[in-house]
Amino acid sequence: MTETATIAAALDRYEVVIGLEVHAQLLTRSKMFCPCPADYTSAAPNANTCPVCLGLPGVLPTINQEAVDFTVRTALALHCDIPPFTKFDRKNYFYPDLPKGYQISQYDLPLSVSGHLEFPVGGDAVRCGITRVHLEEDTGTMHHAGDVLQSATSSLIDLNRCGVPLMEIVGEPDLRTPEAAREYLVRLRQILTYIGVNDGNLEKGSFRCDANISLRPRGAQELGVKVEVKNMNSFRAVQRALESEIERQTEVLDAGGTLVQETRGWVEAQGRTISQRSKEQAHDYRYFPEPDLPPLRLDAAFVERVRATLPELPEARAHRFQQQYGLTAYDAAVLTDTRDEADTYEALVAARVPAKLAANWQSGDVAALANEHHVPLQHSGLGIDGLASLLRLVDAGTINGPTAKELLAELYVSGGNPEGLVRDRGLAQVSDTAELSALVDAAITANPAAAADFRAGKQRALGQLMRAVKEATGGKADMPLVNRLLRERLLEQ
Amino acid sequence: MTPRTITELAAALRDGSTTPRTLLDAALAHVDRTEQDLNAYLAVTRELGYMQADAASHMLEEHPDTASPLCGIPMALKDVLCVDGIDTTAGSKILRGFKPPYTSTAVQRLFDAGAVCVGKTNCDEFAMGSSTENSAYGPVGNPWDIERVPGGSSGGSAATVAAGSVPYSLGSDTGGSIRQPAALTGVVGFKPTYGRISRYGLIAFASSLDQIGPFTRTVEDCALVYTTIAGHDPRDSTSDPRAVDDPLASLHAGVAGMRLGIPREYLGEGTEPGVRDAVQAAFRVLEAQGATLQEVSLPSTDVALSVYYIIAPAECSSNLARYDGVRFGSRVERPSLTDTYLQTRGVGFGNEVKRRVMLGTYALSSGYYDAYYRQAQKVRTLVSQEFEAVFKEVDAIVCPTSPSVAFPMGSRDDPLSMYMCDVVTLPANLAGIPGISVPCGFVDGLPVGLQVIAPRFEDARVMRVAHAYEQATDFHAQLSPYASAAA
Amino acid sequence: MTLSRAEVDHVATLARLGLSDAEKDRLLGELEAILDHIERLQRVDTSTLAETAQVGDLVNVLRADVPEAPIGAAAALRNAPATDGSYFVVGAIQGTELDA
Ligand SMILES: [Zn+2]
Repeated sequence: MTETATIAAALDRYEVVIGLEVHAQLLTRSKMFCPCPADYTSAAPNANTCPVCLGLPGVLPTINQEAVDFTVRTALALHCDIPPFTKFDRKNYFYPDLPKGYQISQYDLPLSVSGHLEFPVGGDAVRCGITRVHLEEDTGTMHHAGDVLQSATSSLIDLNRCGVPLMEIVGEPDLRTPEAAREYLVRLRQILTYIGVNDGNLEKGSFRCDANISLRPRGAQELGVKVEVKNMNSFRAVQRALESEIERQTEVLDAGGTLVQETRGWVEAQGRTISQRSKEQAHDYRYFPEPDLPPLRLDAAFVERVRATLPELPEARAHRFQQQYGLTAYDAAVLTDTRDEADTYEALVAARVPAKLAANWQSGDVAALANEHHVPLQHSGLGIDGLASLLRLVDAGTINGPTAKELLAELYVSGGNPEGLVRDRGLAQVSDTAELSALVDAAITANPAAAADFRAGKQRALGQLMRAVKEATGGKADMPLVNRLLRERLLEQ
Repeated sequence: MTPRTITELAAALRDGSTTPRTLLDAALAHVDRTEQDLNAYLAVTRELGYMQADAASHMLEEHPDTASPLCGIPMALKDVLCVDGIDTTAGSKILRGFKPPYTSTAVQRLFDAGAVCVGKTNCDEFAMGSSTENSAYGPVGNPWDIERVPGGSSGGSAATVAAGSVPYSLGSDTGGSIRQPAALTGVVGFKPTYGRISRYGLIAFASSLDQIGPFTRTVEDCALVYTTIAGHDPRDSTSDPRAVDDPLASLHAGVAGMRLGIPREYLGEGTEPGVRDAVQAAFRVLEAQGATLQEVSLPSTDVALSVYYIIAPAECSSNLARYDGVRFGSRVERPSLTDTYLQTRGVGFGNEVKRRVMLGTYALSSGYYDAYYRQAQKVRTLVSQEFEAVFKEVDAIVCPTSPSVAFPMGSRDDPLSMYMCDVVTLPANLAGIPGISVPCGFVDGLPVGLQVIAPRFEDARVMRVAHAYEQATDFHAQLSPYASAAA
Repeated sequence: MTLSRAEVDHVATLARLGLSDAEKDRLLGELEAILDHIERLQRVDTSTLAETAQVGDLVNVLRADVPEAPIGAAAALRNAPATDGSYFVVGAIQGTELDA
């Protein structure tokens, strides 16, 4: 059986229960509990550290206000409740990338609870509960000398990442397929980047996901044995890892076996999960309230202040685009995929580019150029204003489509003023009927065979005549007009 | 020449009869003479001291009127206080050779005032103990009888002031670690309100209980040091932003008309008769000064010890997790990382630290948290409530600082009997309220301390009562043999 | 209150304290004595009492998100028992050492 078929067969007999935990780094300027720069990628190893994030004896943490705001903003975007009282706790465990021997996190009284995320999967609406969104600090990073972890002779520790604000978003076990799990992550990432709290980079690990998955026979009330899956660093990996877990668990259950509660790691190269830790080896984190940090009381006024900073979320914006600009659902979704994309679109419309025209060009040629050059429009030579003036020229009929396309490609890289260029290079479209009629007559005279063929019913013959007129205008002819004039002339004789 | 107070030395520095260098010379010479017997220092910071003495001279010359009273005066720091570039061990082997890259806030405030650092003082390892016998670098002798302990955990800081080497020092108090050694060595020791003095740079033992405070020869000196180091610090989120009352303004106001409470439970059967007699005599002195004394009750005193011995070890078990031999301190290398951790910590920590880390880890572990830690947190609330109720009846509490006088080294090898040393000091830590110990007599030549406790942020009131008592007696003026020999 | 030797072993592992058998035996007795003493805590009626995690009434103590200069790698590494000049170095992590 193919993998898809296996999964489909498994889903017939077993109900799959998936819950996701996402860790997302916050885009603050300084770290969570110390004022070191939070940018850990561009500095030399251990350069962005201070006594606090090094966990030196005698130091104390201080709470980054922006991290609290960002977490509350996220919680509000996910429809969570913000309890009036919240606090930090210590999660105790030993590991070389955790200098203090404990992580400052939140245990029983998180910053937010009881939210949800709604999204379509294959035409169905899925609603996944959000248990909580809480705030904690990231660990350092470890590099293992030697090729793989198991055979390494020593480990190198970099604490630049240590203390970067980290938000944990715990989803309810409401997801029923790997596809839904993937879609949940796509949507969640979209929201986090939209509201400006996270850069959504799975590969670099600024957006990370762990999954809990269990299977139970259809109709069963009790939940099956839960397995936690880690080490998935792309949306595709999440889906593949969950599919592989479903296959594995189905095999065990079909054979009458029992599953063990454990943590398994996804090994991309082997396309399977391997056991990392069993329940018996589970941590005892000895959580207790962080005595170095007073608790937070977030009153309604504070919550409303944060709510006011929330931008329009992608789903609402796509809906509005359909209503306001007459876009199709598909175009609206594409143009609201990222906040930048949507902002660009609305900037074009605001610059008097017709909505339909802007949508076509932005999601077509402009998107292709952005992709080709790895530069978004706003950072290209053309810029949003430049594109707007170019499209206004198209709209006014000053230049034709092919000319606009060529100009776009050129200006995207080199920059420049479209109006000036059109004027200087004489690129303006030739749409004077008298001038074009003369050229049409000349073309018919010069290509008698083609004219005869067309009159004899060969539609294709018109192409040669059109090309002749186009060449005669240096490509600037208003081609729809040429087409009309040619047909009129040929048919009247 | 007898050891002089900060107030006296500040005057001498200004009338030209001495200089910061002269004072430092004398302090270092005194330390050199007495260290053999006392072992009060883990490091003598000669170089830093002379640099600071010269800077202080300059400050005194330039700004004699505005310079701090502490300017140019030698002092010592408990070795749990971080000083940039200076060995800081917390009395532990595991921190041997550690030089912090930063200075604690309280110490920086002293340095900014022109203080001259003589050295880092010996203490119980990570401030865990009541005798300073738990130092990895040997015990400290009590200047009144070097066969006896100076109390703890700030034993070195207490001993060096009692011995007359320096007029003041800093210690830290988690369950009595300033007040109890002050009592046992016959000096003044003050634990301020929790949140009054920044803990930034104080090597943590139990974060919700720890507080820095001074050892001095007089209450007035105590007020001078306190005002220099107290006040909000943005680096310590638990440090309180409200304005600090000036204790000097009310120091001489006396106790006439004040209501003072004597907790029945603080003079229980564990109190040595001699201590009881001395403290009761002190009560009569306060009465003679116009205070009204009445018995009050703090019924949870007995369970407070149990609360303390859950909360303090629990917090310490977490605070001491950072000593893993990765970023600082000593490491015992083993083939596997787990064994490296186990051996580094197994070898690096002493017995009392291991005991408390074990106890605290157990109290927080799965299945025991509710019975131990959560229950202790609730009873901690009760302890605070009882203090609040008592402070509705009286302005301050007066009682012994320690149930006993200084005991012989090695005489309390059972942990529980050692823990009992703190029974009348640790409740103030649980409630976060200020407490001071002031000399109030002798039993067989060994000092006894009177403790004064007041509500939160009434630090000035504590000093006012202690000062009134001190001025009516001369116990504080009696000198240990080492201080007399300073002449 | 009886503490088992297995519990002592477990707690020592949790706390990463390498203890000799003699130390564990001694600690077993000492911890039992302390826990026996502490047992009196269970007799206090705490049904109406809130928990005190820290004294004082401070809330919302927050810092503005303004970066300050870090101390740099050289200062960070200066006290370390082992470095390679850029990183802290520890022995390799083996098998299940990620756990316990
Ligand atoms: Zn830092």
